Amino acid sequence: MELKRELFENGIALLSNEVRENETVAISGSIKAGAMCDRPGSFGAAELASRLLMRGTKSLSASQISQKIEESGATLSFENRDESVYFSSRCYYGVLEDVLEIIGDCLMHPSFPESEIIQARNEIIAEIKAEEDDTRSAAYRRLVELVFGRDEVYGRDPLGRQDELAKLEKNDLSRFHDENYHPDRLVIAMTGGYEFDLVRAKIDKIFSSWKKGTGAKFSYRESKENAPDKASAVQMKHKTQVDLAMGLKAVPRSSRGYYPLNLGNLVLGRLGLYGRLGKNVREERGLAYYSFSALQSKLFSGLFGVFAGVNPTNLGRAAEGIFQEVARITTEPIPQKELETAKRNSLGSLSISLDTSVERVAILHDIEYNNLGLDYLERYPAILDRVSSEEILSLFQKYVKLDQLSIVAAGPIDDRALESLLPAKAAV
Amino acid sequence: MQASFHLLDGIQEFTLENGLQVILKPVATSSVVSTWIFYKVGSRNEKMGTTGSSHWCEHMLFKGGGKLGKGEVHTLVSNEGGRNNAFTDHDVTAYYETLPKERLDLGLFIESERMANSAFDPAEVESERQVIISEREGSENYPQYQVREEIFSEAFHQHPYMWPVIGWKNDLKNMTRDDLYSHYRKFYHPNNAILVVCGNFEASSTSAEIKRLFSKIPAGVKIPNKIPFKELPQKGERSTKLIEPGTLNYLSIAYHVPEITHEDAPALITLSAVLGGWHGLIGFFGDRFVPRTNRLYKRLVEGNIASEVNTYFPVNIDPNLLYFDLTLNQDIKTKVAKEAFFSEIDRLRDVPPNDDEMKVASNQIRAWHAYENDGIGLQALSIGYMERIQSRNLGDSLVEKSLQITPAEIQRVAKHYLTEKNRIVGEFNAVNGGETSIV
Repeated sequence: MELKRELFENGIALLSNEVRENETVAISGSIKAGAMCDRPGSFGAAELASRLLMRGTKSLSASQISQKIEESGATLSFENRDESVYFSSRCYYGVLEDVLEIIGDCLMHPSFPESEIIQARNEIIAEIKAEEDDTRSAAYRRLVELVFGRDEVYGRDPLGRQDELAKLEKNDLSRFHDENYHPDRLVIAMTGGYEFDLVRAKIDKIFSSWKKGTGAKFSYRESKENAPDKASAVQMKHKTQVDLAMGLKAVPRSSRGYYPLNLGNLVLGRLGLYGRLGKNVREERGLAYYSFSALQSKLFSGLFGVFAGVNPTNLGRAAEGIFQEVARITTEPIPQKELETAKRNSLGSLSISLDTSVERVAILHDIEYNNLGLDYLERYPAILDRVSSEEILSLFQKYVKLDQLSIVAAGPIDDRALESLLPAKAAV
Repeated sequence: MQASFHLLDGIQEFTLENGLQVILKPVATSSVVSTWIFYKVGSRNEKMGTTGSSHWCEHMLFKGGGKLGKGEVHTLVSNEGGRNNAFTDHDVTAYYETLPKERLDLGLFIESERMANSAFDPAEVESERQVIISEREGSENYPQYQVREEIFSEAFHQHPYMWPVIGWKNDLKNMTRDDLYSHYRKFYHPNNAILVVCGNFEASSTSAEIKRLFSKIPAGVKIPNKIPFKELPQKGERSTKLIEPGTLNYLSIAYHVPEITHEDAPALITLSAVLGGWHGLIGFFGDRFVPRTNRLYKRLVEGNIASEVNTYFPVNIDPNLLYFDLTLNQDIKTKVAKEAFFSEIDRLRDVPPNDDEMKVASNQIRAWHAYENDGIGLQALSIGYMERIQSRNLGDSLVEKSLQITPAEIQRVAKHYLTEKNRIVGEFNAVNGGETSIV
């Protein structure tokens, strides 16, 4: 697969893969202006600003932007997360230039109209309320609060806080945009049926007037407020199922430990039907529809988590199965055959992902965002090849300490049920 | 530079003596191959007392039998870096394996074993019972799911679309291993299935391998495509109101619409796009794109009544529901949302779509037809799903006809189908703020 990269004078990074026979184009991009850029007292500014990017610019109204996108058959959406605001688009090649112009206009010249602020704020508040009543979201949100700290970027909800959102005004959003939306924070990945040189020239034309930023620094300060080894219940007596979430801090994407931990994560809770966790908790015990692990490695930190949805009467037994598997992967080296399977799976699934333009462009974006290098796809087999069972064990022993695991149960659960989880962990 | 894409270009088809229909689509530029098998069975083929048997059967086909050990399907596919899964819907149950092109044999082997030799070990049936109940209970946690179940059971008094694909909980508790096994034996045979292979493979050797693996499986009793249930016309609005703890109110509204092969389907597709935006015909795979030029978004979201409006257009064998799902803004009552929604429906009957609305609807329908066929796996899904519903040309044909629809035709179907008498209204009225506390 041929990748072409361009770093523009103002710092915009473009990564591209032309697929000449495609009549459509997929775009995936990001700008480092996510919830990380929120300041205390205005948690939610990044979310609100991101939702308003398509709701009016200095030259186009919200309805004109939507009309232009939709009447060309294109799609465009922006989504704020903890570090960055991500955008994605699909379109026919014939309207690509128009779509790129709109993306540029939205990123560079949002006008934050008052009426749109009210509407977007209502949407965010409804989403916060829906999360509060969703056992899966509630368990996850409480877990990251415990692991990272309530006010820390990876611990708080990128949606923001209702009381702080209520105070945000147009001027706050304009200031936020001036400080954080800069070309040197922008990554654009593209794939599809176009000519790279034409696209490069178009992007240069659209964005060349946008000068490198002198605003706030995009940086991360780790909080000391985290509370590992804590159990917490989000009691929702009106629900049927309990969502269990357990986790602790892991490594950032740039860490050398990422690949060994990720292969271990595949073995523990991803391969096939949720790996060893799926085999123990779902296949053998029949206790849960889902029980899996996840390694979320980001720019500055990461989360290692285990998640399951269980009937309240099965909570103790499901937790016991999970603790057994977490203990096993932190005490016994993964057998060679199992590790080879994980490596083959990792390589093969990458190749399958490259078959669809939406997944391919997401991989391209990941390469540029995480600074993995143009030859990453060629190097990937060798990277995996170097990982040994001993290295995985040593990293799991370093990062996934059972006695440091924070545990959250959300749903119809009482205090006694929660208390029963901790001895189960201690007994492993 | 860009070639215009046609899903059905290069397709080859044959039927084995035992009735298995095989559709091959070689794509030389791909590095993968996707094997799908579609069984002509879904919740539509179930009976009261054993609702959910199709979906449960789907789970059991991962539990081994013949040359496949328990859970081995996942292991074999994982070993090759592939992907596999399955889904059950009203009209169809489908399984797939997407693998590197060198391992097409594995996908074919798995599906041939599953069709002939699934074991339904009694201990595995019991173990899976709790897994499926857990899957159901996970959905029950969501207010929208609760309302959806209520609406479908109100909308259909005879037709099996009345129950959820996963089945009623009581049936899941009581169904026996023999109930499931007889369901499997009745519906899982070559002359009730469509095998679709898409990707980088050589057609003649693949055909030979398919014949070698599947020809020996005996044909079953032919299953008529028609089922003996026809829903009588609704005589007046039906409604259901849930009053439960929660943080937000939700409103869902559905209208009976005809089967997808009905002559009014293209006009209803365009009507859906005008009213609520468009996300493709099959729409199984999500996209965060929010269409904003449609009438419901403008009235309800821009009007600060709802934070989200979703429209679901049914592509089914029998008449089903055009379904609208509204998440209301905090403190907005369902009554307010209902009034606004109904007034927008009235407006469509009175005011036909203008040129801008028609342009958006047409171009979105056309573009999503391309997006839905992005990659080998989705192409195989499109071909097989449409073949199951009627014919693999169905998707192309619906899109082509939808693009010819006039504003007057949209008005006509709006007046005919979007009536008070033909609708079902489901409300979720939240009380007590969700009764959540953190310890």
